[in-house]
Amino acid sequence: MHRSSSLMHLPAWVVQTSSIFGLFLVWTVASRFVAEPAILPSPAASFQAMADLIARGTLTSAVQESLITLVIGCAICIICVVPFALSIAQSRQLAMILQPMVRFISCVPAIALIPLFIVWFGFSTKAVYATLFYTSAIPLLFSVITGVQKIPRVYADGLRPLGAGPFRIVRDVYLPGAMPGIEVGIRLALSYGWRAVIAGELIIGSSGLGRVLAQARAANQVDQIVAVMIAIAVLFLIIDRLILFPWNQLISSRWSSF
Amino acid sequence: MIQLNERKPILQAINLRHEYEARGQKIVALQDVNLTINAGDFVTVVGPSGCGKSTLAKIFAGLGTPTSGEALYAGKPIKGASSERGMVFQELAVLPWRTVVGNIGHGLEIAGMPKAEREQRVAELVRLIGLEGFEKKYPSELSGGMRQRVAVARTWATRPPVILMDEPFAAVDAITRLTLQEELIRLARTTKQTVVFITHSVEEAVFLGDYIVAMSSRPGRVLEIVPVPDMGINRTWEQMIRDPRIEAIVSRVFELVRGRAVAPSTERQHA
Repeated sequence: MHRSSSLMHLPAWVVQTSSIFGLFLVWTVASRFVAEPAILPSPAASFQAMADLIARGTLTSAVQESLITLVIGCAICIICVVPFALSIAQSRQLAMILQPMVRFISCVPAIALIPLFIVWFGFSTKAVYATLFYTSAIPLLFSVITGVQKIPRVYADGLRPLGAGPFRIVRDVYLPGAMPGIEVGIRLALSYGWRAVIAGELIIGSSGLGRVLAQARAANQVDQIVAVMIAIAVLFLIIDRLILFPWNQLISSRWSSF
Repeated sequence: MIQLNERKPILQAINLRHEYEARGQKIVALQDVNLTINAGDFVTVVGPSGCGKSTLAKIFAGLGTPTSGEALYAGKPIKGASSERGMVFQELAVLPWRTVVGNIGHGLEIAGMPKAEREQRVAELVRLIGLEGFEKKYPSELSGGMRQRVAVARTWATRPPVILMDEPFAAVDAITRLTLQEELIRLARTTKQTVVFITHSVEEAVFLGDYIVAMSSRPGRVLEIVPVPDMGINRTWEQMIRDPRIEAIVSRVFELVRGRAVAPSTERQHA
């Protein structure tokens, strides 16, 4: 009781940092205990491997490739899905017909579709893009639809007697009103998409961090595998904290309902 | 009523009937509603909840279609919403992602008014509703009364020939409501605005209206149209509650809407 209350008095970042520090401590102890670098390399060995990969330029170019795939893929996904979602959310009937369909398709995990994508697109980045698109489109679609459906009807009703036509209402009510939903959707699209990119690259082996992982496994370089894993986690953390989180704060403060 | 008939009818309801289905049951919200509202009138429509008074406002606004009968604006059937008939809602209809000036100027923006002219008009309205210094605030940063002022100003800004108000002050605290009512009267009288004001409060209806349309509970029908003596632009609540004529009207309307009125007094109907 006393311990937990004293923990509460510490600043949040201290608790968070020490939690991550604890993870590394457990890892160090475990790697000492296993004492077999080919199974569980120590943190020091893994960071050494990371430094080597960076020095050789392998890691930096792989990071570039993976991030570009993520950004372009998600951008295509957003451009295609957001207008589609906004238009089907307008019509309750259309949403009712399409939702079960999309839900059924979404039951197939993206990884299970990779063989199909390889058949269609070959062992190329196109197959990675397909995996990413498939993975990101579904949460984005549902978030935007939910976002639109959460907009109080009175917002649109209030604009019609001001002379607003359907186009105005989409522009001035549905699009800004669905922003919180779009924001959640984009966050989900990026985080699911990041996993899809890595998984796709790992299996398809066309480029990026996934390919480095596959190569490291083929060469039995466990320290490199762990190094790439850390890079993947840290990169996503940076994207989420530096870009998505501040954006979320802005939207939720402005859009807070009364 | 004679003086009202001299003016031009702007809104008319002819044998209006509105039905809807709820849980498999047919509900008649409005039945045999006949009503004529003239340009320049401040009409209050009062009745118990569920008497279809909001439905009536929605039909006049063009946001709903009657099951049968006709709703006319300036002699023509109403088809869909139009900027000729503004509407203020009970719920907060101002957009939370627009500032005070962004919301007030929204109708003018839709109408395509040039920016400079729009800003000037909005600034005037902001002054009129006493929101100077709050121009750049978002609705979530305002009090309930301020938000409803913004909603009223947004509708007023485009100067529509008719303004429909559906219990606009119902969600505002009682003391703020008194102020808003007095402000509304002044605004409506100085601009000679036609207003149809829906309320469930008899006192509010009597305080605001040139005449009161008393409606019955489901199915909603017009029971009686009760005229109110002219109290002038600067009427206040203090002055109204002391007037014995007003007191008599309040009790008459109470009897009507509670369904306790003895055979409608013919003398009053043709007054």
